[in-house]
Amino acid sequence: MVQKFVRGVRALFRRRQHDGELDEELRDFVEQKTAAKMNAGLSRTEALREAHREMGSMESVKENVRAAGWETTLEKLWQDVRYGVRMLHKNPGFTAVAVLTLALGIGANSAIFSVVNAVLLRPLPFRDSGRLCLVMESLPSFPQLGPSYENYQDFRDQSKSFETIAAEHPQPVTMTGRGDPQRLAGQFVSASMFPLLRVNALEGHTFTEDEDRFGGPQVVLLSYGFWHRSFGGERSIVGKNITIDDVSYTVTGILPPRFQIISPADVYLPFAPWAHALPDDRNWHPGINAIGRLRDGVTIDQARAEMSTIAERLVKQYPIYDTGMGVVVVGLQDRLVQNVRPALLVLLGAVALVLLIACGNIANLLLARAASRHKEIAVRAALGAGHWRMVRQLLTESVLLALVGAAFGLLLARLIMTPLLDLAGNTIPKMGNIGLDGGVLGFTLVVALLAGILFGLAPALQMAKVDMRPALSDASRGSTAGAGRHRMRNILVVTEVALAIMLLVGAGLLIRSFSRLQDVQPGFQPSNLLVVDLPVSPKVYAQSAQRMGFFDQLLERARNLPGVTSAGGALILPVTGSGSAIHFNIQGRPPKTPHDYILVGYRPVTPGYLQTLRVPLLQGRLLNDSDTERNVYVVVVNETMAKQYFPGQSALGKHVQLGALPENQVPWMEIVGIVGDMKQSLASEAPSEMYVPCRQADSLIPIFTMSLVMRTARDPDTEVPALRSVVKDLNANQPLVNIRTMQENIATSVSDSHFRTVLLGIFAASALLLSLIGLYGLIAYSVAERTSEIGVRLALGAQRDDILRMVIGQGLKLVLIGVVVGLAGALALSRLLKQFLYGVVPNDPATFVGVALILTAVAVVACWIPARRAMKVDPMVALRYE
Amino acid sequence: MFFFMGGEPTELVQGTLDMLILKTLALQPMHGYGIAMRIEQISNGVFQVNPGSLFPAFRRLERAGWLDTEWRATENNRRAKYYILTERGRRQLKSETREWSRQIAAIARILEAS
Repeated sequence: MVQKFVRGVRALFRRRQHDGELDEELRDFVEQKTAAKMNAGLSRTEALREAHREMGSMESVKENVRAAGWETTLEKLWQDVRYGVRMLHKNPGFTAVAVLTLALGIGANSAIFSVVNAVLLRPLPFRDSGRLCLVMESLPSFPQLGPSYENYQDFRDQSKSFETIAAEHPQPVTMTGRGDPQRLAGQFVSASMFPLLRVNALEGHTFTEDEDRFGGPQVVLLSYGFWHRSFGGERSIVGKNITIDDVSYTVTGILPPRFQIISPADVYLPFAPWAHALPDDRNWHPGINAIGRLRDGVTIDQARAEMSTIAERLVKQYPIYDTGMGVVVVGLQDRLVQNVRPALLVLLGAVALVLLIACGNIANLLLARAASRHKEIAVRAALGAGHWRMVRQLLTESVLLALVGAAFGLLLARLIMTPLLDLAGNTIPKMGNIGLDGGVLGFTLVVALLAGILFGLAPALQMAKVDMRPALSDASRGSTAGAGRHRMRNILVVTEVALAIMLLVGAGLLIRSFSRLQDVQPGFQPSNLLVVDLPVSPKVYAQSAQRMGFFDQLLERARNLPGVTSAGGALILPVTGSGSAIHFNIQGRPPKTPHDYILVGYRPVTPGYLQTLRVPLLQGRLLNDSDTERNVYVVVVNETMAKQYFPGQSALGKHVQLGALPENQVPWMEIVGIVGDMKQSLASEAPSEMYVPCRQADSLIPIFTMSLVMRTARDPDTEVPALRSVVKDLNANQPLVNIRTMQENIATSVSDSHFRTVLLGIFAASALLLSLIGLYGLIAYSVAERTSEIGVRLALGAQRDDILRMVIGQGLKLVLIGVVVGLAGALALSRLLKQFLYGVVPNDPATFVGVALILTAVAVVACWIPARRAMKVDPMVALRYE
Repeated sequence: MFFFMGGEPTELVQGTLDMLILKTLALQPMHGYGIAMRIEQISNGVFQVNPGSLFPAFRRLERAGWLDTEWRATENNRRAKYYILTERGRRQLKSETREWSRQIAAIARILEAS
């Protein structure tokens, strides 16, 4: 094999020498043959003629000899490429249209694939990242959640399946002392995390076990990006101090570029000091991400089995806390992408369909061109080109076309990458770089080759099948040319229409679902609300009175601003998709079994908050300034909670208590009011919620962050400077985080739905446009081809309206078949969208019918244009032309 | 990478020609015309070897490493390309001959049986 290859390559470069030798050898052969004939008594001329006759064409022999080596295949390919380039160059119009169509189709595929590649396919940037797992708890009310600190420690210490289990907790922090206070993404990370991930510090060192303990030195690691942004990449920062949450930390190291654990962070702080402050409660789930690395030779199923045993043991050991607790072990990457995977795959499928339609169009163009290339092909066939040789030549041409299209497509993908990622916003986990890397280039190349063969094969087979006699004689007019070609073009158009219908139905469902989502009443008036998050320093505001005093002053000043009508604050805003649920119990109804624990959305709010949002009061009263920790503890509940826990009776006057089991030292809270439901997420029903006056709530669980909400008289954005100065006056070191309007807040909550709806909409629109172009092309071409036939019909007395009807009817027949096939396909595929739909069923009749009608209507227009041309055929001109 | 090339029908069953060339060269190195003549003579003119198949076969066998080539002077002092059987070619000839005899014997049995 190797020898063959080497000889082939040598032959490729010593072509001239080889040919010369072959010539000589053949001449010698003829010479000897002639000599032999002369010996037999022929004259030299006769002998020579005889010898040549017996030998046949010298050129053909040479060709055969060359064909015996593989290198000739390369030479022929090169010939085909050169010929293909000439052909494409000779038809600039065709080439431009085809390249443009392909560039759009392939470019869109490359762009979407680069996201899929970066998010779903590329492994996490850690060594052996496939061995990394996320270890979570499962509880009866939560299928998956980060473990409590105590359980995490037991998992870590008892499991043998993992090298170790490291922990991480993300929490925003504030850096002061360097210009304006800066809000940073912080993460508390156990020292074991870095060796677990096999990551070393770029500068300095990662945490030591001694640094990761309560009372240890105050140290911090910086992310590469933050280091460059805030310290200009200055190495001397290592060993210096920075102030975070009013505590001075020593920078011990810089992490490598693009390092991130689950979510990006600017600064990393040791885990143990943070965990030390947690309440001593196995049932307290503060949001810990526990990451384990499987030991060599241990499978994830073995790890699962072991962790289940540990969980059972813990449940027996701590029955009150760990009731119903189980352990979930999932691959880290699987877990990170599980929310985006379905949407990305649907988008990739959709964009592939668009490319398929584009291929259909180009195949159609090629078939139409086949007619004009008939002669060229026939001549080549007559000169001895074999059938396969010709198919190869034509395929080379289309693959060439696809490759040029792909090159432009990559340019296009580069251009649309930024807007695409902007549109995606935070709906895609930013794992590493999303861009056109080697993987994307390879994918694009493969897609281009496949596309080239796909759209080129059928036309090539058709064209190469030419019967050369009628083609060479001038009598060949289109009228009889290839019924097979017509059938194929019809099938192509039907397929395109069917694919377009499927995409349109998908997009239609998402659009309807999205508009339903927009119509959802959030339960309050979202217009003219300005929102800002105010995380206060746990050091400066260590005492409850200090925190509450700050919030009171802030609210008072905010309310006094001229453009502000009312203001309030809450720990958690509505329509953010997040929330905090807490165990509670009802007076006189203690849980009978440990499984009776009940949960409620826990919403500490300031007086004036519910009024500012304009939530309707249904019964009782709202909270007011006298609901402080010194007075009777009260709560306002939402309608869902009142109905869920006090059906058929009034909830007013009932008492509830935080905590799963009644405890004497925890105050009972009286329900004093019932308000309408507010949505926590537009797409789901409102959860049961209780609103606790923040001063009372803070005495139970300290509150270190508050979202301030102001109702403004005019455009909320105009109040931003006033808001800033109010906060600055109170505390110059207080950061204002994420100033936005409530409506922006709501838009963010549906941004993933927005992302896929917009993209699928664009793909469906392109599909519609492409299939219409295909249909138009087919009808226009067929009208041109049938000009003389139409002329005859008119001459024989057909009415012009008949012609119009005939042409439109021809197109409409194809469209209707396509619509039916497409609707059937959509019916089968729309289930895939089920999880993305809100308020619309996957086989929503209105969408299906609507899409079918729209497509048919525009298809009629696409047929009507060429049909009008057919109607205007002058029979005299048409017949004379014949 | 490799496509079917088409090509003219050979007078001999594909593969047989290769075997005959190898057999001819087993005696001594020879040039193209000599090989063609020899096959014709020995087969009593049953096999007419056409250069259109002969030279491609040379190329094929050479590529397979069964033949070597050398330019030598002929008996009438002209330059000609001589084909030489290599050691691998010899082995190939042996195995092909064995296989051929086996097939012939089998076919003969079938014909006799009827």
